[in-house]
Amino acid sequence: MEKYSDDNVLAQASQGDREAFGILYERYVDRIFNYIYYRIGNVHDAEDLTERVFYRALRHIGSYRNQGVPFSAWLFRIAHNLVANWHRDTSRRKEISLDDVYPGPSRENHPEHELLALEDKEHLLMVIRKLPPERQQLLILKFVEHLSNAEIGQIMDKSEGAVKSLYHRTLLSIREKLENNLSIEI
Amino acid sequence: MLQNYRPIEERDFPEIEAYLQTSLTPVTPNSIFISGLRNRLINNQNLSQDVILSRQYKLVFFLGTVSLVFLIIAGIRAALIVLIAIKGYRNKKPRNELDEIVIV
Repeated sequence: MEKYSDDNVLAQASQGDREAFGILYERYVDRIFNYIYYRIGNVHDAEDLTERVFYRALRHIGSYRNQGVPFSAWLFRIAHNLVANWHRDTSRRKEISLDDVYPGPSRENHPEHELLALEDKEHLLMVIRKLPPERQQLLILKFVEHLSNAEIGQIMDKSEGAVKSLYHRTLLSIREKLENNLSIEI
Repeated sequence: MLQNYRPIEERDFPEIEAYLQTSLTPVTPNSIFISGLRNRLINNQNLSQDVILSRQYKLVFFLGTVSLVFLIIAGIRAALIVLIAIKGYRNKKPRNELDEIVIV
């Protein structure tokens, strides 16, 4: 599957080859799901939106033109728009619940430690979800998807320098929020 | 002023970055969901979510428009009835007053 480049598979998929689209789907579904999951914090809605992203991509793949923007960036933009609609429709922001959080890789730890780690993660996610959508998007693309600033710039339609600057401001803001929360707790 | 300028470094916040790195770990989606969606996309026997949604929106829009038209017609009809009743009452009132005078 990996031996075919995105461009070759895309050319076939845009001509209506469903198997080719299936290859693209398998390549990107995890990344799109992760992006959506971290933006909305709910597994079931993340699955629903992931499905919509790929159905929309399937419907419009014929009109996709490679103009320097990779296919993955196109998919992330669809996901970003659907997430924005989801936030608008639900109006209230859902807090991530313990049931909805994936347990993570540290299963051999004590349940108490796992719970603490989970609470820690929930706390950070709460802080992240209070950030403007653009900053949330940046953090997820950087830390969950492990994309470079240049790749993030392609998705967010920004220069590499602008991404770097936004990243710096985002970290600053997270640090302030975490420090504020800590002082309130103390 | 330029002497004080320092380019933005990515490693200005090592603790925060480490915290984010350990907390924002990729999750694995449900394998049944992944394979099920792949089958639906490739076979596409079912209507896509978007198509279903757009049809639902069209139906809701149509029903909404029809209901609105009915409401407007019913509102106009009710207003006309009220107007006619008020007019009839006003036309009737002087005669009643005269009747009362005659009685007195």
